[in-house]
Amino acid sequence: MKKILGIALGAVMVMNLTACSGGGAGAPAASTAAQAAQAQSGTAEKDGGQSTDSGYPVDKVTLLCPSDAGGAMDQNCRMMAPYLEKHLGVPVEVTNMGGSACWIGWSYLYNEAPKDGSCISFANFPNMITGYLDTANTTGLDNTSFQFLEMLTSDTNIIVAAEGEDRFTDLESLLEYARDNVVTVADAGARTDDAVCVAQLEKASGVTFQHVHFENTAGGMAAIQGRQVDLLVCNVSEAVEPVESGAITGIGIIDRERSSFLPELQCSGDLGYEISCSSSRGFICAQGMDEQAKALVCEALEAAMNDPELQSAAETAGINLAPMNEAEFTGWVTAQNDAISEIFGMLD
Amino acid sequence: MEKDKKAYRQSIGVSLAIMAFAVAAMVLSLPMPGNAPIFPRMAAGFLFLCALGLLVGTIQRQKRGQAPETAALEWEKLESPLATLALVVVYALGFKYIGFYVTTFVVTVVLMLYMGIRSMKTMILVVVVLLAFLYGLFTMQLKVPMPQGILF
Amino acid sequence: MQAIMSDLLSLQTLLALVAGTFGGLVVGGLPGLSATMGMSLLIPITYTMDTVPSMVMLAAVYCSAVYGGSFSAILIHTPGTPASAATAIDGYQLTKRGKGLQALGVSTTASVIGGVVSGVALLLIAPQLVKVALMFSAPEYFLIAVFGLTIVGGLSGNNLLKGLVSAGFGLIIGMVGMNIFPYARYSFGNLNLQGGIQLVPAMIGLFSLPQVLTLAESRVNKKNREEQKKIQESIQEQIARAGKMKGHFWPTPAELKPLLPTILKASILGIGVGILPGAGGDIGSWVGYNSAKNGSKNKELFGKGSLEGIAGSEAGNNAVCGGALIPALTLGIPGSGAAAVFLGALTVQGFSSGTNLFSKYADMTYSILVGFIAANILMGIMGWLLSRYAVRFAALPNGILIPVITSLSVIGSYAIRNNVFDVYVMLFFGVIGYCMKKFDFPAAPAVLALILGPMAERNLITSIQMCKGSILVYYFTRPICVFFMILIVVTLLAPVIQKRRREAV
Repeated sequence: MKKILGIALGAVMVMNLTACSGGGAGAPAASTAAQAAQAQSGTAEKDGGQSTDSGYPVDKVTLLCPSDAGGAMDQNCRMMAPYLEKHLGVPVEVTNMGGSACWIGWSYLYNEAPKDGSCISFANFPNMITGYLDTANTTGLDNTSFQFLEMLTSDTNIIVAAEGEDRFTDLESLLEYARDNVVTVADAGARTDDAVCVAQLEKASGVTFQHVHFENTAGGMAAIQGRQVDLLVCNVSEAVEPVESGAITGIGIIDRERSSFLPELQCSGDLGYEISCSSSRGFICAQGMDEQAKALVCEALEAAMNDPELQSAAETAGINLAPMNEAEFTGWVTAQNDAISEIFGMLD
Repeated sequence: MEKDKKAYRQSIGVSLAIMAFAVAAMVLSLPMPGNAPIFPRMAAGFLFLCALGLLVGTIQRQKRGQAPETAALEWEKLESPLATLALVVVYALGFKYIGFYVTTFVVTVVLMLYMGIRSMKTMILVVVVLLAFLYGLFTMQLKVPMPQGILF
Repeated sequence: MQAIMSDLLSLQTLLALVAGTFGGLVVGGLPGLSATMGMSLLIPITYTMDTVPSMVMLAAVYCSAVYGGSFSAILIHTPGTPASAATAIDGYQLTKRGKGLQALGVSTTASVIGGVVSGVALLLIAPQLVKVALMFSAPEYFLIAVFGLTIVGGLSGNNLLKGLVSAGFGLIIGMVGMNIFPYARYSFGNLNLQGGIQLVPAMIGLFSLPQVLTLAESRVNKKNREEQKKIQESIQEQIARAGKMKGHFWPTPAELKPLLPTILKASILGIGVGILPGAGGDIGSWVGYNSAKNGSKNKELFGKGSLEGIAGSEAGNNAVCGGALIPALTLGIPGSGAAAVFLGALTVQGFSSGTNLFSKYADMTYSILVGFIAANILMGIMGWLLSRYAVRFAALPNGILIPVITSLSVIGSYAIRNNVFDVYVMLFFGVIGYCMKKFDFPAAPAVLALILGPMAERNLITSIQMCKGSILVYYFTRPICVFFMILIVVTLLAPVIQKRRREAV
């Protein structure tokens, strides 16, 4: 038993060594302050002072990721945390609290977390909106329970078809075809951004599709590449590589403007539709959070979004930064809330 | 034989409890909309039939005078597991309020004493190694945020 | 070739390989921690590392965690990860008979072979396998899940009805929450239940708490001083003696030969399971276990300590690791949850999946894949070295085992999602699991149903959405579906036909 402990400690040291030796390419290391331990022995990676002369009312911020470790939201949070820390001046630590489509985390944020500025969270849209519009949601929360600080990323929805699809080649011909034929369209779930996109397109064009719900985009992507369904709705970041390599055929972007990543694809705006669908994520805090802290966090988030190091890290990771400050973000959420309320009944 | 009768009573009781569970699952599926209740009802029905089969089988066995399949549960034998279970329940419910490491310490010591370990050396060694390992792995390396209790 | 070797043999990569393999063993060996979780928590560290070392580290954590789960499954009847649930059944039986070391040896051999075979497949024939994988979709997945459920009978031991009851219970539990329909079933308005019952805490509850309570049964009520003294001495002896587990670790050539066909068959099936998105190590281990049982001449041993069963389940679950990376690297479609994390880390490094990985960045990719194979071999060596100590752990007196397993179960259940509710789930299933044990209801069918039930329902619904017209016609016009339907019918009828034949003779 002692030997196991010895080897374990050795491995722990080796892992830390590997982490340290790997780098320090300028990105400030994320804070390692553990919540439980009061007497935290200084570990090698601790960086960023705990000084409160940054003016921030508390000496540590928890960035609550309402989704499990390893997922896309978690990666976004962990990418942003060091830059927020750099511009805010206090340590920022990411904590995961996943479950029930992010509502366990958001519920905790509103009901239990302190509102002194020590806890902010991350949110994904339209998941939050479809979540509270659902009558089964017993949390009693909605968009008025939170404040929307800064949007991080926005990934427009795109419709793709199988390789060599010849019945339709762009949005216009697709809608033509779908008026007279049954067309199956795969999405990542009945309440996801993909499904909302399909519903909005159906409402705007008057055409109906047959919805096929998979558990996630991976299932849908396998289905479209295996020609099991006619169409797949996903996001541009997921589709760029397969479209460029020819594995799938791009049909159209659901947005008012064409995408800069796939400019040759038609967009719904080309056909005159005023819809804009995407999967977007941004930082939020609870309604009632300390005003001074909130202002400082918004400032720090905006500064971080403009930080060239963050921008290059995001580009490497294929994340499309779409900064929106508090006012713009809040307005966007309200508009989305109205648009989705109208089509909510069409989501099955 | 008294013991056999007791065993049969318990087995029948278990079958009835499972059937009750299946009925409850069926009843709770009534308000489900659309296609949602189909699988639950199939599963609940399946469970009910299997439990019914068990019940019938048990009664038939009893009628034929055979020895019961499952021996009766004796309260004396259950005393230690139940006491341990009570401790585990206290542990699982309490660590959120008192603090994980303190609760683990107390529960570990109590369990060791309960199971008859008296050597101070052993107890100290186990407690130190266990707590150090848990702390080193979960708090330091994996950075799992423990719920903030009153104590550590 | 030179570039690959120099990438692989750099200090950073080697350190990453060793640290990842060891870390994975620890993570896998502890009930409650899984490969996916371990990998996710390592991603922030990979931000500052080069690509090849970080991906090798993650791949090493993946395969060694899946293997490491067999340690606790065999020694303390608690699967370290869901992928080792099938191993726990027979593994622990062997430990009880003092053959734990042998069981670990077979598990290690099977895991290493399974992992290496899948690594070689990944290296050589990934693109071809992917073409086959794309022919599978919701209808096939539904039938695979149903087929998986038919092996419940084989897990029930003597009492088929009790096994079916256990499976029925697992099916209903799997329907709790909003997993499949945008309607929260059986949630009683509780936000946590709306998200469904998590597999890992339920599994820890069903396996490890009953184990703890069973160990507690051995407590002797002290009646007088003489007896007390005797107990003290026996405990001291036990502690001093802990470690005299009889037997050898590595299987002898004579023992290995009959196991090889089982291992290879399970490995190939495991690769297949891994390639299918949505089927991970947990399903791979059941498929492997089942194939071992079907091909075995000693079927009655299964459930009572069959080395073949362990070989099948462990080869199956480790073969899933390489298999899951096949669609991940070629199509960007992860074959399992852990493969998804792997892919995410690759994206963070700036690489996306696809043909580029095997052409422009071939050197880097092949370094990673060779590293994966190396990790599988390394984990076998580490497992062998650690086995002696691990086995001593299992021989410790119950008074020490009980608090250790209990605390690991509690913290393990909590650490998955930082949610105390999961600990309550573990507790609930622990009580149910103990009752099940006392009344001879097998726990394995419940776990199997908990995994396969939702898979079956979800895919049936999706296949209904996919078909344009009659669902029956849809199923019967898909050749793979027809194959599985025949397979299911044959599996269900086989025991009946065999019985008739025996009676006729």
